[in-house]
Amino acid sequence: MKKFLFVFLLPLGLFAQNKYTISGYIRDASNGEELIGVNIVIPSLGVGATTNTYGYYSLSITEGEYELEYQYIGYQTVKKRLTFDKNLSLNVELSPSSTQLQEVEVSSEKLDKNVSSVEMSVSKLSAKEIQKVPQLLGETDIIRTLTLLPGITTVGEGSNGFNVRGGAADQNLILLDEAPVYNSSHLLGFFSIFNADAVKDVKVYKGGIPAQYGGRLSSVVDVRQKEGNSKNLAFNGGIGLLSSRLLVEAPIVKDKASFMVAGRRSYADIFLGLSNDSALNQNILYFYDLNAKVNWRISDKDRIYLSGYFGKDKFGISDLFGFDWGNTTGTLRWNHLFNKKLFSNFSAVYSDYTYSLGTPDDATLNFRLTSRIQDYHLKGAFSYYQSSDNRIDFGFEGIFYRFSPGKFTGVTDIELQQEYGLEPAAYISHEIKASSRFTFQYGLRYSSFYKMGDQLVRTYQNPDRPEKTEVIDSVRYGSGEVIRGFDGLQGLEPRVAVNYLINENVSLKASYNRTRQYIHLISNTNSPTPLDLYRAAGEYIDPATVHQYAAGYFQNFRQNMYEFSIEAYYKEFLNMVDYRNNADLIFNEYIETELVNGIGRAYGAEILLRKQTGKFTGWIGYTISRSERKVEGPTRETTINDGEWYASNYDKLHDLSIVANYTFNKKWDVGATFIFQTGRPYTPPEGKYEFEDITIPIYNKRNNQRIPAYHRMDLSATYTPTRKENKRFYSTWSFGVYNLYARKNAYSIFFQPESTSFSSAEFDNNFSRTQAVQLSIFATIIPFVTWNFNF
Amino acid sequence: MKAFYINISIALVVIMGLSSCQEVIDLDIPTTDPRVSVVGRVTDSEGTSVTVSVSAPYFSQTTTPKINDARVLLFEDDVMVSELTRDSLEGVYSSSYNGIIGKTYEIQVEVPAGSANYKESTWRSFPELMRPTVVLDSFKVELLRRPIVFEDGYYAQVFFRELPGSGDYYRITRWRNDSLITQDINITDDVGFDGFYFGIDLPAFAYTGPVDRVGDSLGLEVSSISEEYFSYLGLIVTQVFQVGSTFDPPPAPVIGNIYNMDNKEEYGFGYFAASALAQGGATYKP
Repeated sequence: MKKFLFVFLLPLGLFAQNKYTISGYIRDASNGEELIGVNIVIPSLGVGATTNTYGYYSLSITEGEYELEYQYIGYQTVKKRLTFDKNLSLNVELSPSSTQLQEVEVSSEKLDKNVSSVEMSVSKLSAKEIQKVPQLLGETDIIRTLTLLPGITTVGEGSNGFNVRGGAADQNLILLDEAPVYNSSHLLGFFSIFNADAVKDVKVYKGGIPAQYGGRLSSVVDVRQKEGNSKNLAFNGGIGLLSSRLLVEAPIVKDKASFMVAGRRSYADIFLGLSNDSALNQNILYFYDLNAKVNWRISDKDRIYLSGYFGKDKFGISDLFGFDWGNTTGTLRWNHLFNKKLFSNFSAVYSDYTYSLGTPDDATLNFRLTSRIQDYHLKGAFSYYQSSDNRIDFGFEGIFYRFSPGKFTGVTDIELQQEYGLEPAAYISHEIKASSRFTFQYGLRYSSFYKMGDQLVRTYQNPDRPEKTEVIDSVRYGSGEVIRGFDGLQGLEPRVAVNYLINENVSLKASYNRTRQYIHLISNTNSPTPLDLYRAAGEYIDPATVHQYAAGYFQNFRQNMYEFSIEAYYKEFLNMVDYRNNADLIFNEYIETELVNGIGRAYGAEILLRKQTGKFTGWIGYTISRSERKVEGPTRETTINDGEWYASNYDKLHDLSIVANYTFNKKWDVGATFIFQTGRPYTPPEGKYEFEDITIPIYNKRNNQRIPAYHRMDLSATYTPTRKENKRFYSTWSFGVYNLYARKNAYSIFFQPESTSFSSAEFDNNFSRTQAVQLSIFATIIPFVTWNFNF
Repeated sequence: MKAFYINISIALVVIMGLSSCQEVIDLDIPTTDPRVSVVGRVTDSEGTSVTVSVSAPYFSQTTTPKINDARVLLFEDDVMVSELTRDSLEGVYSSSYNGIIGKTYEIQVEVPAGSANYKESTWRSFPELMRPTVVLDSFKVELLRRPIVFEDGYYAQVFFRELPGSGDYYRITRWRNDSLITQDINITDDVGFDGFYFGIDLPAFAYTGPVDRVGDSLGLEVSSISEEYFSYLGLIVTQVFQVGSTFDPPPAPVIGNIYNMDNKEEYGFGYFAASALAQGGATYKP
């Protein structure tokens, strides 16, 4: 390892002569929010830098006098003429552009990051862009909007989680202010947990994942919350059909410290109460979430952030039975500048996902089942800005996990064993502009995992296919004692990317990354349920690995007004967890006996044409892809589809999204979305037999037919009444429709006897009649209206 | 513990209630070659019975074809103990032979050459151990206030002790006035109440209700089953009844313990079980 570090650090000594550094923070002039991804360009030298996730930039150049441009989409460009005869510190405030409607002016800016950056397979959405997309029930939904981008899909409407480039929902590292979020959905998958008001920026890595991220196989979704207005007290909020929300932000000490608090609560249950149907009107069903953040700029060198999220879904049948689940996260961060070139961030993070179901404690037959995963992170991340052509990122991370798979209390008390894990990792990555045409980013992450006691571990007669009836012994591991460690060379995760600039508008990029995942979501349904829990690699579960190769062509047109890219990828999945038929996954202390091991592959091409500036904005995304699995065990029970490749639940050959927004004038803004997707696979019965009076479908090959293609159009319009001068208060009305032409898109096709009544004592003798049924989640047009306000 | 999924399903129904829809559709789906199905059991007190049939295309809207000319033999600890005879019902074979707790049983079905619905072949079940069942001490019909899901009303209840020692599995079958309450598979393991007395450690087990017709007789059978049979019945429950939501489990073949004697890898459908029976009942007389 020491030798390796030396190679990395070698370039550091070679360039450091007659150079001066300019550094600082870039903020929004209206509210003091730090801006992520601002371009700092010196046109005469053709060099530049970008602000990091904390709004910090650092750029080293040779002595002289230059003009610098600070460019950011939707903001007025700031130009500064500066003399570099010493190191400079310059914080810049950018004002939101009021000229955004005038195509020509904005397009004169040189925002060519799509082409010039070494990053590929990355999508970035700002809260503003997300808010322009028509939404279900008007509820601005970050995850749903992400699925309009190429390579990101869901199993179907109302599915929990999402799938990136053929990966399962648990392979996405979803970070909210660096804290991992285990369940990103509210209401069983219909809405995401992110309150768009509180979110500043979302960035998704589908491939080419930088070395600083690890722990999940397929993607990183990095969501950053707003810091809070450091200039004025401000409120914004909205009242919609599904929920209402309010955000308050204000300086604590002007330009020094500020806070943000945002809350949101749904009120579906209020509508349920209006129903005449007693099955509906006695139910409780809602979610709420709370986002909060405080930050303090101690000096230009030190800054502290404390942020948190608390969300919950609650469901109940009157007051007799309740079911709730939710995430809690907390993040404490300290940014420290060792010097102008060395930026660091230290984080302590806590994340918790809990679900609980049961009766009130005073019920006669009371019971409660709770299940939980908690993790604690410590991280250090360093960026060394050697020169405008050289940057080195390095850092470390340690995660301690506590899994509480199940605790049953009430009529009887049982608890499944808690499990513990430790995941240490370190990384280093070097980005170098080797010539005017070539940029390289090469890095290495090393991760390991230790499953630890206190735990009683069973030994089975056949450890490679444990059977509940074949337990031969059990061994008690003490607290902190390692049950199984994964710390060999398998933990090396190389990450490489290269950009070849053909000319200033065209580039070719390629990347490779190896990713490792040590915790698996144990879920055997079409889409994960809130009851599914993560379990750690250990005695009987191996870590999963992905190799991903990607290559792409990137081009910008018309002075960077249009961005175009086409990317192809191939992913190889190793050690994927799959499940035996009829696996019982909830509250099962022999969980390893239900699991089988498989491999996967996913490949495809993604095309994106995007326009981010002007009156007309939006994108067309198209993906052609395959996602397949293969499970071949030693026995019939541990083999799926005879050990042949089969399509995963989220395999969709074609996926087209068109997202458009047009700003007519200062009052009217309209948006439209159209989606077309190949239907996902389903499994038809190839026959039937009778068991007593029950018709049993004979399923043979999994996922060998497809449901009808999915397509849908949504529309929205936003009306902003004329803002009175000198009044801070203004509001907007948004209205629109989801599923404009009321298509009954299939979610699934399932098979059942015509009579499935459990309760009828008088049997109707019709048991042999069978039918195919198509389930549509949103079978109708769904209108919405939302009122949003700011002051 | 699968029951917890039902609770999610209720939540889903509420969420999807206003916008979703289910439509019966016409589909063209593939059909595999027919296979033999053997479904039956040997009991400790009600003899042995087996139905032999052949699988059919899924959308054929009749009962599946039966085999009426098979030779059906019962083996006890690998020794042939009884040949079953054709019953009056299509495809049904029976014998008065009762099994003994602690012994293992296999059924063998020989389909002769020239049989109407299937080719000549011999099918056998993997051995099943007959395990003891509970003793049902007493029955009572009583007015119950039910807190969750069920309505208040008169329920038939049974008092008994679950067999001490974990790893017991049961199937519960119910009758009303001599007619089986069908399309209804109730199975349980003993996790959480191993050795408990229903009526002391836990409330008496309410097995049928609410009942409202005076004079109805409410029968109950608690049969012992093997872990393998428990899994098989569980698979039927998920594959047949747990469908139609966003959280359906993946479709899976429902294969029991029947195999072809000439090729052990070739499976038949169905299950031949060995069960000890505990039966009883109560009559509703408020």
